Amino acid sequence: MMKSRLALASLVLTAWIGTTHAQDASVRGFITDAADGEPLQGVNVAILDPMGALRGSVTDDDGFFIVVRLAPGQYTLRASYIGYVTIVDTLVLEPDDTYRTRISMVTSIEEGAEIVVEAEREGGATIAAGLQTVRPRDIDLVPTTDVSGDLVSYLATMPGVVSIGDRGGQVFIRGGEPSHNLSLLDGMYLYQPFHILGFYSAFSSDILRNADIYAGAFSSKYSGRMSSVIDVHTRNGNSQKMRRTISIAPFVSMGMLEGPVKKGVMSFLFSARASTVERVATEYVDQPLPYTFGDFFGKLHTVINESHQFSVSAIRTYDRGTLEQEVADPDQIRWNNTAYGLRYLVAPPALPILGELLFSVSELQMELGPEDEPVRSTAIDGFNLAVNVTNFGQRTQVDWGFFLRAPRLDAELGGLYQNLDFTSDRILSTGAYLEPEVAITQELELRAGVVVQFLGDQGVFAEPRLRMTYEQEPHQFSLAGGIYRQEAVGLNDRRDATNIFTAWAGSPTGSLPNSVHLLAGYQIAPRPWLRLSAEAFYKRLSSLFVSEWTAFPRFTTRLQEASGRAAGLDLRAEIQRPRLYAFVNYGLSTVEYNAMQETLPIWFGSNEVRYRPPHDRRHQLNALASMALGRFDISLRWNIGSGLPYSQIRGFDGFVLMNGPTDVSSDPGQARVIYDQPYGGVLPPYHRLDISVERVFQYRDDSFVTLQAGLINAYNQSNVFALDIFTLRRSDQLPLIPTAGIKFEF
Amino acid sequence: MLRMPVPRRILSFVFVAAMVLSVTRCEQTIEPLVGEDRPFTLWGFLDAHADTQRVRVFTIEQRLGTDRGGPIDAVVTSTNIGTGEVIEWTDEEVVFSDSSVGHVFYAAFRASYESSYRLDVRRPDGATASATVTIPPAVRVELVDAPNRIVVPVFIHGKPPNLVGVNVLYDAATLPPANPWPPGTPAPPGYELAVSVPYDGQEEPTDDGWYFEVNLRSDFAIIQDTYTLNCLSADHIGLRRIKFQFLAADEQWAPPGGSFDPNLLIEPGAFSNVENGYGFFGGGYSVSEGWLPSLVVQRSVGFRTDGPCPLTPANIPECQLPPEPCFRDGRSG
Repeated sequence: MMKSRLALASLVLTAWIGTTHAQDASVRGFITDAADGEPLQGVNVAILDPMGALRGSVTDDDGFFIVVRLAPGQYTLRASYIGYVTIVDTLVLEPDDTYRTRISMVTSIEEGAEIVVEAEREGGATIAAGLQTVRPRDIDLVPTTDVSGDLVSYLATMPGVVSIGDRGGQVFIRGGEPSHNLSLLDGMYLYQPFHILGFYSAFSSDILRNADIYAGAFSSKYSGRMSSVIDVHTRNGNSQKMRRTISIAPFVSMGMLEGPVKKGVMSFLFSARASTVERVATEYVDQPLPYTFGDFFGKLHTVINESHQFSVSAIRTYDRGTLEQEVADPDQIRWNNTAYGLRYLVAPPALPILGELLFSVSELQMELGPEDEPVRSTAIDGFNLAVNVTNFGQRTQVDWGFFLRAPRLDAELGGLYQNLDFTSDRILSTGAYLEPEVAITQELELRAGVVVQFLGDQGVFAEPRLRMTYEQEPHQFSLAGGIYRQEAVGLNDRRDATNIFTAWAGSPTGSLPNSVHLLAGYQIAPRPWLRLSAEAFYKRLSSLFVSEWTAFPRFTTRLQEASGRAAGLDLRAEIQRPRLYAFVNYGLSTVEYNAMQETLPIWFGSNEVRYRPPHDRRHQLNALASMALGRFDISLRWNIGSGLPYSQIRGFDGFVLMNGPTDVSSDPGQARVIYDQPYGGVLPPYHRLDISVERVFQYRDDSFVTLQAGLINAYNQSNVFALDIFTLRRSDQLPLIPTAGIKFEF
Repeated sequence: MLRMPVPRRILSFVFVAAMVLSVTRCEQTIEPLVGEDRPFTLWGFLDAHADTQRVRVFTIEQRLGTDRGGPIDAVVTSTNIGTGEVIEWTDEEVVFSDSSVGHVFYAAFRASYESSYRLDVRRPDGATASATVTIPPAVRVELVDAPNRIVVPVFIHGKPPNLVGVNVLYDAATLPPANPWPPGTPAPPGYELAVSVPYDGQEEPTDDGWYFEVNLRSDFAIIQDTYTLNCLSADHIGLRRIKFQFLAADEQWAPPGGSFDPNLLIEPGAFSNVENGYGFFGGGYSVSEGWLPSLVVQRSVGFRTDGPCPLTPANIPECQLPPEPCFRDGRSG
């Protein structure tokens, strides 16, 4: 009933917004970079009438723009973008005319000349209602162990983003667990997108066009996760000429091939990365680095005509390694992501609409233990069908769509989770969303939406969302909030930092994890070169599943339900001078879980315990600076974070079960841990300086060699990664690592 | 990438910052052990039916494991609170089946019914863990016409504060066919498997104690299930003897929640009566009363009282066919 009402409402809105006034004309099109055919996002498109009145639009991440409800007549179209030659065109619009165009913009520098000004950067302090858009050039500023950058390295510089260490691939965003993050690559679900070594993910900057990072309060288009969204869009591949990229570095080497299948119409991109860390870096790092990982990505994109585009993408990632370095016979963890999907983009000539159809199939397989006889395994696979439509009005735009997902969740757990050996669930999730955006005034924009989800036996849920921005130069205020729900649960044992196995299952108790988000932000650009922003957030988390407290000296991971809250404040300052790019950001955060357990009254005198989960990093500061020195580019990143909580121990003794006339001279008993208050201790602060120096040589018109050298953990700080509280053995994060790499682009 | 000169002062700042960091950085130590003031963990009980009493003593250490070999700085004494008699217990290093070594202190005396004792385990610095127990009163078990009843009334006279581990133990075994037919047919071997049926929590109070009803018929279904789970024939179960048994326990021998769930009881402080220490030291004694039902009752309940196969050929399937393989959990039985 609710669905039909929603569909009816969307039809009405479509009719209302989609119907242009009689004799009104419209202008629409796609704007691309003439050099490689990639869409240009953020191009200002102005339509001026002979009297100088202006109507405008800005291209989205597909390079699409539209201006509707233009009276018939003569206009001037002007498309401008920093670093590109402005396009000016004269249009004569007839009544009911729909003017469609494809614009290719060329860079404003002469070929071979030195780049003086870079294209406009979104930047580290440009955040609106929890959304930050990251582009490859932002990522490449962060020093890493590779010539090319990776999105995860940039994520690590963001306030509110916490990673337990430099390995494990666990990223916590504003209090949420890794399994609470929605990671999309061209609309395909990636369940574990981060590689086992923390500098790498499936999102290499070489293949990225941009990534939208919603740290919270995301819009109605996204559903099924309760904390954050990482929505990554890849490049289409160079549609003008064949390009090859090869990079060699001690940690990862990469090859990429892209080019036109039919020039200007169809292009492809293929990338393959493979770790070399276990063969090369191990040779000169005084620490075992038993990590093998890599990924393959391919994409085929075609422009069918001025209104239709189609692309097919596929990715496969693999990871294997062990995080327990001090154990004689450590458990190896392995996982593979496989996903393939298609995207059909349509801007029908008859309607002021941009629509996309997404269909993808994704799979994650994860195993722990010996390869031939894993101790635990889990798999999640399923398809995702989504239709997203945007209706454009003069001062209004409506996003709406519907989706169908049916992930299958399997886990063989060896009796270690909820005492279950095996779980298998198929979760049907279907629903629709509607989110109008209204420009209430010139300064105030409001997006109020709702997602209605039907989750099989769980019922029907409505999740309202709100996003609002008020902008009056140089100030910008934003407010956002919403309710979020998650149908699949990632079960893990956070008491052990080296245990990153996550079992995917339906909710063990039937109650779905959910959260309420609220955030408020302020941004100001007091000077053209300085941008400051502050954003406060609050998340209320319900129906979490955390490990039960037990004195057994093992990780049995019986689960208990918990609730929690995360709150904090992110402060950012960004400097964009002709001579320097830098940002400093500080994240203040507090995360608290509240668990209830049968044994808690005995232990703590109350049936609930409030504690800081092990990812509650209270303070985090990131500073990044990038500058040129002669022909060298130098980047520095310094990161300091307060210590993470851990559980301290009073001592060890033994336990004998006295359930009858027990003979204590024959029963050996069991070892026992006498814990102090949960997570009552705090590990030492974490800090590290990374430096990279890079020089680019141009050896033909369009061929480059990039040499890069760097220092990871430049002053060799001993940052703790994990502490085995049973053996009191400590393992540290990566020590000082010199790196060097070379990259060929031709 | 950026192509621009960098102000000298920025480079200077970066250089100085790096130098300061490198000079001031230090090895940060972690202290995961906060220490424990309580000196010992004790496990055991005073047994009114035993001539030698025992207690397992764990020191609370900074290393994981039950292995506590080597000398132990502990003096264990028991004091009869009524008479004032003090007995010093003797330390014995015991090697357990898992090769771990532990300290079990023992003393040769018999605890008296309804007497109170205090056990002290003292460290040389004076830190003492202690427990006080009162031995429950003597009890008498009355089985009412047990051999001839399928539902056997059981009275426990004398009122111990707690009954722990109340169960009925069926000393049972599979009976192989007396004469499988045709000759040479593999027959299931005789196999002893005693089955304990718990009766915890089924007591009803009486004026001078407790009352139970032992239902042989419903228990037999449990026995059959147990045999089936163990891949033994559930059709050929013979009975040797039945025992009604329990531990008459002192007032403190009552686990939180009413059940002996190790996941619950392992928590330090849970189910503990030890002052300035951990663990549990109780008082009690084992009680067992047995009987053998008549053949009529056994047959009526379902037990076999003879071999299933006659000496002469007969059309009885289990005497003619080889035993069916038993599969459980994907493994052949």
